[in-house]
Amino acid sequence: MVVVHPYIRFRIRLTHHALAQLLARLRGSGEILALALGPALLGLLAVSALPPMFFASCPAPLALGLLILHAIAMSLPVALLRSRILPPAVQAWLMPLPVAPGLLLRASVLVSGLLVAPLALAYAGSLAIWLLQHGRPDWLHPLRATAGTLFSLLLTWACACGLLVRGALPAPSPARARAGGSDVYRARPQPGWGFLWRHLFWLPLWRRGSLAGLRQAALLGGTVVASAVWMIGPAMLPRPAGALMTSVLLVLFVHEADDALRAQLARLQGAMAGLPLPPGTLGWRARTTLLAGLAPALLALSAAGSAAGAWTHTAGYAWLALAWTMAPLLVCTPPFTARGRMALVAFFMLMLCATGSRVWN
Amino acid sequence: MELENPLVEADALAFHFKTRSVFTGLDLRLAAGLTWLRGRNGRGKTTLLKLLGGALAPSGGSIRLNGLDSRRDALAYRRHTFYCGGEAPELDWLTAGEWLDLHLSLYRQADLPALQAHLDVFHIADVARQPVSGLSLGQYKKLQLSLALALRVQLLLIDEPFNGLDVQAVDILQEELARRETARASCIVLTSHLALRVTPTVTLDLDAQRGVAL
Repeated sequence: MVVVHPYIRFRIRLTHHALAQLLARLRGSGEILALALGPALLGLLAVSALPPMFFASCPAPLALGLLILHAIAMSLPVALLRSRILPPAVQAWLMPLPVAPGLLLRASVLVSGLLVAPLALAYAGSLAIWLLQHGRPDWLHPLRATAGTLFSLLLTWACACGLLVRGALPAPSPARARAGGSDVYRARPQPGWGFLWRHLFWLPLWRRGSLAGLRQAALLGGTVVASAVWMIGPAMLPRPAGALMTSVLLVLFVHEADDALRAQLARLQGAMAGLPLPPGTLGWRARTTLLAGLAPALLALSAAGSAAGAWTHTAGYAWLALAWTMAPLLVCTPPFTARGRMALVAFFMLMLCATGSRVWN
Repeated sequence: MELENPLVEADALAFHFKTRSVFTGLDLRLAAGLTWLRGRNGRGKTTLLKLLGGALAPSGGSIRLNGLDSRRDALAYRRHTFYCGGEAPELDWLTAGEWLDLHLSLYRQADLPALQAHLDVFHIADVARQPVSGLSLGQYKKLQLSLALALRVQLLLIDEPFNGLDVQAVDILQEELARRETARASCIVLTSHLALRVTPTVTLDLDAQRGVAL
C-alpha cells in the first residue's frame, strides 16, 4: 500500500476544493454556455490538438520554437488559477513549515497533473479525430503529430509544475527598503475623480495578488490580435474564424471589466460608508468611467473595420451596432442572478458571432 | 442630559442588526470637549460611533450635527465627522501614503503640518511607501490617529484608540486629548476600556442609558 505524505494529500485536497468552488461558481453559467455555445465548444475540443500537430509538421527549428511557445501559452490558465489553488492565507501558513524541496516538487507534479489532465483528454480526443479520419490533410504525419502534441503536453505540465513550485516558495524580499519619505505631507493631493478612480478602482486590479488587471490586459490584447486577424484576413484563416474570436474575446473583455468593477464596488460599500463622498454617486461615476475607457478600444476597432471595408453591408452595420450597445447594456444593467447575467453575455456572444461571421460573406 | 450648546443631537435613535436590536429610541446630546463612551462588550459602542460618523444609517430617529441631518445632508454631515477605528485596514491595496492621500483629498480642511508632526512623533513618517496591509496593528492605529488628529472636523469619533499602541504613543495621545479637552473646539467621542488619565468632559455609560437594548 502506497502511503501518501500528508502534505501531498493536503495539497491535492486543496486543489479539489478550489476546483469544486470554481465549478460551483460556473455551474449556472455553464448550463447557458453549453446550450448557447455547445457546438462551438465541441468544435474547439475537436481542434484542440491541431496547433501542436500543425507546428510539428514545420521544419525542425521552427517547429521546436512554436511548440515551446504553444506549451507556455497553454500553461497560462494555471498561472491564473494559482491563487485559488494556493490561496495567499494558506501560503502564508505553509511558509514556515519544514517542507523539503523534493516533497514540494512531488506535490506540485501531482497537482499540476490534475490540472493538465482535462487538456490531455482533449488532446487525445482531438488526435483520434484527426488521425483516424479519412482523407486527412497532406501535412499531417501521424508519428510527428503525435510526438509534437505529446511534447507540447509534457512541456505544459512542466511549466504548470514550475508555476506551482514558484508560487509555493517565499517571495523574494526587496534588496533594500526604499528610503521612506519624511516631510511628505507639505503638499495636498490633487482632488478629483481621476485621483479617486486610480486609488479605488485601478490600483486594486494590480495589487495584493489580484489577477483581475492581468486578465483584462490579456483579454484586451487577445481582442486586438483577433480583430487584426479578422480585418487582415490571412489566407490560412477563414474570415468567420476571425469574427468568432473577436466577438467572443470582446464580450469576455467587457464582461471581465464589468465583473471586476462590480466586485470592487461591493468591497468599497463598507469601507467608504462614512467618508465624505456624494452618496450613491460612486457607482454610476465608476460605470461611466469604465465605459469611457472601453470607448477607445471600440473606436479603434470601428476605424480598423472601416479601413478594411468591413462595414459596408447590413451584417457589418449590425455587428458594429451590437458591439457598441453591448458595453453599456452589460455595464449598466443590474446583475439579476449569475445565470441571468451569463445568459446576457451568451446572447451578445451569439449575436456578434452570427452577424460577424457574415460580414465578408 | 441637558447641554447649553449641543453639537450633536440624536433623537429617538434606533438601530437593528438582522439578529438583534442595538438601540430602540436613544436620545443623546453631545457638546464640545471629550466624551468617554463606556459600556460592556456588545452594548453598541462601536455601532453608536459608526452611526454618529455616518458609516451606518439609523433604522429610526435622527442624528444632527450643528443642525446638519446625517441622512438628509449626508455629504455636508460627513465632511464634518471622522470615524477612526477598525484594526484591519479595509483599503488594503493602498500604501500608507496613498491611504493618507485618499483621505486628504476627501477632507479638504486638514492641517498638513500637524499631520506631518503626528507622523514624526509617532515614528511612522517612513512608512509612506509600505502597504497598509503590511503595517503592524500599532502602526496602523498610529496612522489612523495621525490623520484623525490632523483633520479639522467638528465631530471626531475614536474607537479604542489605545489598542496596540506602545507606551510612548499612549502618553502622546493622552496629552493631545487633554489639550483638546481644555480647548473644547470640537467634539471628541472615544471608547476605551482603559481608564483615561485626562478627565473627560462627559462620561456616557451605555449600560445605564435608556434606549439601549438589553
